[in-house]
Amino acid sequence: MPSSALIYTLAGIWIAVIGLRGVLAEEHVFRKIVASNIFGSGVFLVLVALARRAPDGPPDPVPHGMILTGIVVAVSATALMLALLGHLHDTDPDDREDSP
Amino acid sequence: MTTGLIFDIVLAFSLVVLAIITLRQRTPGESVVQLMIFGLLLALSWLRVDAPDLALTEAAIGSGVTGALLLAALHRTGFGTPFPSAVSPWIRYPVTIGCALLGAVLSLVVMYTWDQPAGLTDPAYAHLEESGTQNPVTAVILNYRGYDTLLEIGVLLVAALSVYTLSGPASGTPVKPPGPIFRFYMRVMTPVFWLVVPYMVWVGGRAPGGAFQAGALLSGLGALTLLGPTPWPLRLKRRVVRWGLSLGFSLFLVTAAWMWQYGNLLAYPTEQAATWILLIEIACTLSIGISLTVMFAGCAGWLHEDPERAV
Repeated sequence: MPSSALIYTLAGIWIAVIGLRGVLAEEHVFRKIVASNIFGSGVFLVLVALARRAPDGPPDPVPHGMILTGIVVAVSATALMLALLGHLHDTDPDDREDSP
Repeated sequence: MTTGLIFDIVLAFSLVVLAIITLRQRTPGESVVQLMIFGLLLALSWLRVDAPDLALTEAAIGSGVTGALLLAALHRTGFGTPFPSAVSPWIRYPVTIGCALLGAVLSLVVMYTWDQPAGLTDPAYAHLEESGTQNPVTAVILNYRGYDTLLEIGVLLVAALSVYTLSGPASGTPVKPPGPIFRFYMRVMTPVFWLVVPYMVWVGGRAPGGAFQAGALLSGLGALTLLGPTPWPLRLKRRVVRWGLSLGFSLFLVTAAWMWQYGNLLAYPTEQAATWILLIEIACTLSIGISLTVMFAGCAGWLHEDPERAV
């Protein structure tokens, strides 16, 4: 019988893959930013589920620390991408609907 | 099959489906709402694998702050504009097939290597007594792997400064004056925030909580204040904001240098560890809160409204 950790690890892998596909194959910059957030969330889910791999005892705190760091870095990256998008919108209003 | 396992399967499946739905929404506004729902369900799944620290952070930052930033950016660039039609099939299909193969290979690798010995749980718990905190996750991020966190606060500072620099003269449309419900909400919630933020910092030493969760809450208060009847953070002196932004990183750096006398950067002596960790947590909470608020204002295009004063 599969453990919860294995189920969530597999879900995390597929969420990350869906996000990666979105980053690579979507046209619109805003959708790419949303996709990169989904990509990151998938990776975090894999790590947090792997930390629970041992069936008993406490979960591994080292991946937990890494994810805590990762969440803040991800939100910083999102803010930077959005600031760049806003800058693009301000400086080039004609191109904003379908900017690459 | 136990009830818990059925719940896990349903939740994991919903997460994957929600990820797909989020990327198939027609307008940016809809995709942000879906992303926030996805983030909250993700936080729920992290409770199922015994990570309450992370679930708190994901709900507050991953879903809340990220959603607020995306909505703020849409306030500036337009909510309802539908996404243009997708890219040519010559790009779309090969990328989809490649990603599906990648997912299949990774899934197989995980299933075949599942029974490997568990990572660093034992060493992390063996030295918890000497780390100056009773919360293993706090011990990892502020003691064992302090470098990571130092650099991460640096990344946050650089990102906040970049957003600060990139937002030119005020371009965002000002918000409508808030209605009575919002005013009432602010009156009730502001004191609650000021109670919960210090509690979060303090409780991080023993239980789930700490600088990141508290900083996220503080930035929630900051964002609410920016939307409120008196957006006083917009009238703060630039100097104050700059000091606030860099406080966490500076104190962390000074601590690292101070520890040099004991032989290593960021290797606290056992008896001082608790004090240093608490100091760093307080400074980082303020800096994280201010950085995220600056990012929110920057994404909405409200920074630099007045050339003399700005957030």
